[in-house]
Amino acid sequence: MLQVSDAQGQLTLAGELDIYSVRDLRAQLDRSTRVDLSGVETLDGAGVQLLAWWRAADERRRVVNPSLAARTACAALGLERLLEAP
Amino acid sequence: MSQYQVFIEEARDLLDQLQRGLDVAANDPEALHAIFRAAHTLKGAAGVFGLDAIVQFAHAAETLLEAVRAGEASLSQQVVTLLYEAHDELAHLVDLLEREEPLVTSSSRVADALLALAGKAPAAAATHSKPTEVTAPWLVKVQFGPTVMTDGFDPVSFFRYLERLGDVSERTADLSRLPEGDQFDPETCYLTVSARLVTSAPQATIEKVFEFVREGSTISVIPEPPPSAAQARPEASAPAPAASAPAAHGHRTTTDRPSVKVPADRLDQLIDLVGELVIAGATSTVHATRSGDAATNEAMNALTGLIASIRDSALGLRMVPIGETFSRFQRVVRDLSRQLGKEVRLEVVGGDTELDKAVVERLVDPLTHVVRNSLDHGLETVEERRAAGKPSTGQITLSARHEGGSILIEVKDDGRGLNRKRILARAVERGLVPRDAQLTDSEINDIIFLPGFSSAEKVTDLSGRGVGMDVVRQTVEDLRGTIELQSVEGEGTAIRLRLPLTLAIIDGFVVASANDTCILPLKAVVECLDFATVVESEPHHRLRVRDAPLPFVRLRELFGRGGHGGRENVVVVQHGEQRVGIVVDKLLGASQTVIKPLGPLFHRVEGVAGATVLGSGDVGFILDVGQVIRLASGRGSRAHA
Repeated sequence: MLQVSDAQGQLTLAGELDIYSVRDLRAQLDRSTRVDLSGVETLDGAGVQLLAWWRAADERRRVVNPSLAARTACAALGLERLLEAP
Repeated sequence: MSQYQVFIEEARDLLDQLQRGLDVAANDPEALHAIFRAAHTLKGAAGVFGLDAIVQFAHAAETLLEAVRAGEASLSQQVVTLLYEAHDELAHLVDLLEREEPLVTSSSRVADALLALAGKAPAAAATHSKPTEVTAPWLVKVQFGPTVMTDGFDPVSFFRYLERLGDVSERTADLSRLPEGDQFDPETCYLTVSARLVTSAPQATIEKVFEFVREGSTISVIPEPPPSAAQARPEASAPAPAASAPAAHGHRTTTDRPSVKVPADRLDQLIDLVGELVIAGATSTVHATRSGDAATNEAMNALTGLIASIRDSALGLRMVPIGETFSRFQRVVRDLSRQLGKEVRLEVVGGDTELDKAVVERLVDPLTHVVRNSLDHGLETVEERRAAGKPSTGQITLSARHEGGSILIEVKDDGRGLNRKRILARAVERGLVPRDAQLTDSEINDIIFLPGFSSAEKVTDLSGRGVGMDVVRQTVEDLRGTIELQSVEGEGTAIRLRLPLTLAIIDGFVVASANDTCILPLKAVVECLDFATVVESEPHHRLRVRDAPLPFVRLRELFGRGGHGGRENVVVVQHGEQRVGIVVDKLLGASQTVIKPLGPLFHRVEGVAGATVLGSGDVGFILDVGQVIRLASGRGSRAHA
């Protein structure tokens, strides 16, 4: 279950960002420029991939406050750079 | 009895615990420990009996749970789903054991997947590297196939598992296959990940890590070319992430109350005896009052109080919180919503509300049907919800609370609500309602419960085949309950089931007719009137009460007794929307009544639901108001089996 709250272009995510929630989240990502991962308890490859796709489309987009689970997952795939400001 | 009977019972208990734990795992971190304990205990017990098939399976589940507890894997949806499957498989094995059939696992897929997720690929087991062994650097590159993720695998877990074989460094993900914009499908895997692995494990072992995704993926494991002297590699330490290990402390959840197992028949016997005691007490009170002796009466009063307490405690033994039943629906909702491609959240309110186990057991099926209906017909698809400006995740709320002497169970969804126009059109089409009928909203709601009605535009294999809601209503009414529906188009539907707390005792209203004493459920009684003042037409069996016609039925006639009782009374009873007058000789007042099941001889007697022994020692019949009304309305020609 992924909870998404939207405030001023920032999406704050909590719960499970995984294969079951990516489709839904994708639709909500378009309008946002920041995604806060502080509450993400589970992040899988599908979630990482979605974040990568989203960031690639616009260089102003940022992923902020990654939780441990989020950092671990990104690190496992060598994608720590997703979490950094360029 | 099978030699494994003790094991079978224990295993079923443990599997129940496992399932309950899984049901609440998303919200309760303590549940993980309960699940683990259940799997662990099951494995041990199966080991004692030498049931290897069960041991292996429980072991796989336990291994994965251990990894989760150690923070090496997360309790993701994928893991939970797999554990559910493991639960089903184990339950299947236990069933086989009970039927004394050979223990054949239907597939090894689940066990293998459990081990893979735990980071212990079955084939690659026992290859943990030791630092003293000779290690070699490898370059691992995996171009994941497009369906990897939808097949239930997670690229992240493979690369985390790789860390078990040795030092992993220099991971890079190639995102060049990621399509831009709308071409991107978030569930398709476009990832290509490479890494350097220093390990003592042979090439075959490294390759086996990715065995489950070999199909469709391109996997290459090659020895690293020797570095040229000029660019000697700094030995990068693997960024082994410090996993947060939730301490596996032995804290027990509050729901883990100690309990004693008692065979159900002994409990029923006790309750039966308490029923007798209540009756004997009532008889003694009658005699004590008649004797007029003050001391006897005083002693009798004290005894009556104690009997009431014993009765309540005894009935309390059979009371179980409905939460355990509710939590099963987490799974129903979870499985079904996935099947239907809908997003649904199930909220449970009032799970600690208690009611009689016998009621709960008979409630599971109708409740399941109602929940399925909500999911299937009530809630819209994600697209429809978005179009309607609703959150994409639908909500079903299951709630229970006590209300008066009954329990109120509500299944509420925030779906599309009933389309009354369509329901009415369908009902007319099926001849259930006359073409020119003017029906109120609640009358239209009631059509849903008519036999042979189904309005689903899309018939799915889950519900909506025209059987169902009528059966649900029948079951609820058999439990002396009522069912009602409220719906606002576009906002949702609520179905309310009102049920008695127990099947053993009712508040009754006692009446007499000829030599028969009958009991009506008190809550069905609307008012009592003098027959002579309200009768309008004796041959048409019609009364006129406050300017409205009311059909009546005479108990003497119902039971085939002749004669005339002199001055007669009418008890107006209500069942659902219908009212009817029951004509009796005498009104004897309210009394708590212990219900005794009727012998098979009386099962076909229409209008009678059960019997009781009265304080005087006589037998009284408990009337089934629903049936009496059908009889009075002239529609009740079928014998009740």
